[in-house]
Parts: sequence; structure tokens; C-alpha cells
Amino acid sequence: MAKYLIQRIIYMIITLLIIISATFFLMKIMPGSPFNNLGGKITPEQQAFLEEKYGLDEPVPVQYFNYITGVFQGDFGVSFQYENRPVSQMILDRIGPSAELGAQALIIGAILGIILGMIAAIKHNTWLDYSSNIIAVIGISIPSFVFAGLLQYYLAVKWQIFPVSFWESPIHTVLPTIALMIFPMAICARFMRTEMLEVLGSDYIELARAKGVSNNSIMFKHALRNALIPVITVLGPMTVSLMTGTLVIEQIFAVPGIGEQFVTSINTNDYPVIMGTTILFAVLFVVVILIVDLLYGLIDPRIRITGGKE
Amino acid sequence: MDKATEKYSKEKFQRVHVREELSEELTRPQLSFWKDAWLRLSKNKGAIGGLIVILLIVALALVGPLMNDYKMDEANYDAAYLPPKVPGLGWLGLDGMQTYEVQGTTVDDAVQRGITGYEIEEQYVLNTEVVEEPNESNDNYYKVAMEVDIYAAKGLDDTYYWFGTDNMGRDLWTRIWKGTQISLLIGVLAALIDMVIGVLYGGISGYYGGRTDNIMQRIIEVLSGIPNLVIVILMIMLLDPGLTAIIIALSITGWIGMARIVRGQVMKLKGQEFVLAARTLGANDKRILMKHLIPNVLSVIIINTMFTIPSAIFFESFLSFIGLGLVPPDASLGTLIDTAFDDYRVYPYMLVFPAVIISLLMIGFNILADGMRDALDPKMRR
Repeated sequence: MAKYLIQRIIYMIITLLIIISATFFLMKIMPGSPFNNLGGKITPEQQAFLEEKYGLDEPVPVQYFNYITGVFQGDFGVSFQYENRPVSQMILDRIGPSAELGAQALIIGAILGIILGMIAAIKHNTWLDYSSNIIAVIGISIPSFVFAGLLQYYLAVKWQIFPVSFWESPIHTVLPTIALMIFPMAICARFMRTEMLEVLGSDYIELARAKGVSNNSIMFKHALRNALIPVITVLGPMTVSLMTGTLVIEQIFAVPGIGEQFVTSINTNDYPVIMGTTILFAVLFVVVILIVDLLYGLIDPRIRITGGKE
Repeated sequence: MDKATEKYSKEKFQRVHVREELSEELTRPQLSFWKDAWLRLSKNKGAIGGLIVILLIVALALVGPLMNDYKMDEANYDAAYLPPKVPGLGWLGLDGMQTYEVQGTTVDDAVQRGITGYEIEEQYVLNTEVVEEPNESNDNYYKVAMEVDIYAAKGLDDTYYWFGTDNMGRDLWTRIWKGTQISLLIGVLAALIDMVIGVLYGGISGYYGGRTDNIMQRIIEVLSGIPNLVIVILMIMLLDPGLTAIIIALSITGWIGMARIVRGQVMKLKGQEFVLAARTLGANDKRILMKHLIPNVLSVIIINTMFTIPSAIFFESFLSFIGLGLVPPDASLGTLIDTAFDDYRVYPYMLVFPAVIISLLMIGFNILADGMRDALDPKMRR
């Protein structure tokens, strides 16, 4: 176990190093200077001054070394667009709404998904099963921004049940959360249904029935617990969908989060912010995958970790 | 002897002669694997529904732009922001009427403001309806919905834009179907590239095993740790925006899933007797891989490719939505939705049509892929 953990962490660090380096060098060969957006109003002297100020006049390897050492100290440089604001500070300022939105979507989505999947499996081949399947297919298929747009148009603009945008009170979080949770909910429901059906068909459930255990007890004590374990594995794809989703949904609902910042930075060539956010996303993803793999082994003793993927 | 035994007495029965050669005969027509899979698929109503939806959209995407005389990049500023109007389909709401929401201290004032604001003559205002009476929350203004015959107001009585026009007066019918073509093209091309790279990589890695496999798997392990969202965005920023950039960006990490699946299958298959037999007969590695292993993995490859198409279509529209997609006047469903978002509150038709088409397309592909998984690989049935 310890050996496996160390091996995994080494891979994690290699992956992150590759991502940081790749991001850094890509940004270096990217067309367009960060100062293009100043409207061409600066003289070459001013440009040279700005470049010196941000350390852009040094040779690339030196810049690279400085950046890497900075990253490990939590310093991601300063934004080009916002006067002297450290990227780490910008990210910290904006992580709140994103984290809140993401957590709400993940928790509500997962719970609803598990319930949907369970109902579908228990009422296998009835209209309940079919309608839960239809909801799952729709949730997986419809792009989150299309869904968000339709929600915003009908529920906010037309019928005015919810506020159209901004991030001020819990009621403002309703629409973005629904838009963001629909995909995690759908994959959770599908996975749960499959697992539950498999568990319900297994020998020990048969035995429990033969012993005369009540139906409720079978469902909740025997089947649900075992079916829940593999659902942990969809946490990976769920995190990815949340990251993708925040980029567009924060924009649509004007949520002051990281995703919205990221999209703005892409459009203004604000390289330090792009790099910082990219690294944050990568770390988040890698850590979630590691946690999933470890949890899976811990919760279910039947799975013995032997290193490498199955 | 009781009655029953008498009734069915021995003499009444005759032995059927079993002919050796007939007992081996097949009474049902022989089914190849693919015919069998098709039979199973055709029984799946959902999958067939998905297939029909896809075929319809593909047909319209190909034929649609030819059905009227507008060009996709033909701007006509006099005809900007026209709602959909189809001859004979007025009852469906496709009547070319535009509803504006206006505010004023009285109903007349509101309408008057609307008329000056939107530059229309009064005679074309067909209907007004009070949406909201003055109250505290709207600063004591009347909110009035006024219905305008905007085609007549712009002097375009006999013109029909089936899906309306956009901010530059381009025909949305033509643009939407052209955009659907592009989205489909991106989906299919990205899926094919992923398939080729994934099958080769996974096949080689799984077949040769040992050290080759070890190194190739470590590479995959590191690559798969990188969220593809990040790679795709970085690649798009690096390359000149456009169709090629999107396809390359989608293919860079897209093949990993396929490579893993193919490797697993090949490793499972390569120890089986038929491979040993082929080797004994002198077949070389290339032949064994291409003629024996890959065909056996084919169903898994097809299933996986079918799932890649909708995800590629989604990713393209997502990139377009955050401003990293195609450059106008080129259009894909994603860019159309992105443009529509700017003013969909007044002109919802701009959002609704591409949104519905992309949703139908995605649902169609996902259901069909599910059905194909069930049909091609009954063991994986979920």
C-alpha cells in the first residue's frame, strides 16, 4: 500500500511538472503580446519598461526557472491586465463562488442521481425505469450551456421565478446549480442503475430473500451499500464535467468565479492568470483521481491494489 | 386395460426414422455476427429512433442550404433580426411577428417609446398587451408587449426567412444547416483520428507487451493525468483558430481511452489458440495484428468510436462558446449558439433552433451508441 501510494504520488508530480512546463512554453510561443490590448497606445520604450517590470526581458530558461520555483512557493506571478495583482490572490478571491457552486452541484447531483438510479433498478422495466433512463440520456446529451440558456430564458426571463444572473443570495445560486448538476446527476444515475441491477441479481441477495429478509431491508441494507461503492469511480468524470461546466455557466449567469475569470483571461491574453488557473485545474483533477483510487481500495477490501490500472 | 392406454395403444405409433445426415442440418438461416447485431439493434426502438433522428439531421444539413437562395455569408443589414416566417406555418408561431417588451409611464407612452426606439411606423404595431401593471418593483412603469409585423415594417412583405435572420441579416436557415455540417464533420473526423491512433497505439502496446508495453503505458498514465479541457484550450490558443486547430486539439488526448480499451482486449486475445495457430502457420506480427486481433476487437472499437462522436461535437460547441472556436463567417452549431446568447432575450429564435438541433443530435448519437453497445456486445449490456 505504501509503495503504491509513493508510486502514485511520484506520477502525480511528474504529470504536474509536465503540465506546468507545457503551459509555460506554450505561453511563450503564443502569438500576440500581453500588451496588445492596451490599444497600441504605448511607445516601444514603455513596452520595454513593462517587459522589464514583469521579467519578460530575461532569457526564457531563466524565466522558466523563476516560474517553477515561484509555483512551488505558491507564487504564480502577477496579472498583466489588472495592475500588479498577484495571480494567487486573484484566484483566492474568486474561488469562493466557484467552490460553492461546484459543491452544491456535486452533492445535489450525486444524491439525485443515486436516487434516480436506485428507483430505476428497483422498478426495472417499468415506466419509472424508462423515464429515469430518458432523464439520464437527456442529461448526458444536452450541452450544459444550452441547458443553462433554456433555463435562464424560461425560468428567469419569461416566467421570472428566479433571478436572471449575478451571485448575491442563495436564490441566485439555484439556476446555475441546476445547470451544472444535470450532467453529474445523469452519469451517477446511469452508473447506479447498472450497479444496483448487478447486485440485485447476485447470489447473496437471493440468499437474503430465501431467508425471508424483508424487501426494504434487502434494498437498503444489502443492495444499496454494495452498489454505492463503484459509484465512487464516477467522481473523476464528474469533476471534469464540473470544471468544464463552470467555464460556461459562470459566464452565462455572471457568477464571479474562477471559470469566468479564466475565459476573460483567454480573451485578453493574460498569460499568468491562464497558467495559474490551468495548474489549479490540473492539480484538482490529479488529486481527485488519486483520492478516488485510494478510497476505492479502502472502502472495498475485495479490491486489492497491486499498482497500475486494471 | 383402462381407456387411456387403449386409446393410445402402441400400434398407433410409428417410429420416426432419424437420418444421421439430417440431424446435423441447420434449420434456421445462418447469421453472421453483423447480421445478428443488426437484428438485435433493430429491435431496440430507442436506438432506431436515434438513428432516424441522426439521418434526418444529416439529410437536412446536406440539403437544407440548397433549399433557398440565400448564401451563408450574405449579409443584408436591412433584414437584420427578422424572426422566423414560413409560408403556411403561421399557426405554429412561424409568422414573422416580433414581440418587443417596452416600458413607459402609460400604455401609450410605452408603445410610443417602442416605436421610436425600434424605428418602426405605427401602422405595423398589430397588438399591444400589458404584461405588468405599475408597481413598486418596476419603478411604477407599465410593461407592455407589443407585437409588430416586422417584415412589413421593413418593406419585406414577400420575403420569407424560415429560421429568421441574425444580427447581420444573414439567413439563419442556411447558416444553421451549414453549421450542422461543420459540427458533424468535426465530430466524425475527430472520432476517426482518435480511432486510428488509439487502435494502433493500444494494439502495439498490448501485442508486444513487456518493455514496449511498460513504456507506452507509463506515457499514457502521465498523459491521462492531464485534464483534456486544459490541453484542448492550450492547443487552440497555440494554433490558428479554425477547423484544423479544433480537430487537432480534440485528437491530442482523445485517443487515450481507445488505446486503453484496445490494449486490454488485445492482451486478452493474444494468448488464445487461434493466434497460436496463425503463428504456427507462419503469419508475421503485422498479419496477426491486422487480420486476427483487430477484427476481434472491432465491435469494441466501433462502440467506443460511436461514443466519441457526440463528445467531439460537444467539445467543439463548448470551445466556440468560450470564444475559441471557428472564426466568423464560418459557423458551427457552437458559434451560432454563442452569437445567439448576446441578444436572445429579445430574439429567442436565434438560440432555440441551433440549441434544439444540437440537443437532438447529441441525444440521437448517445442513444444509438448505447443501442450499438447492447447489440454488438451482449456481455456489456447495461
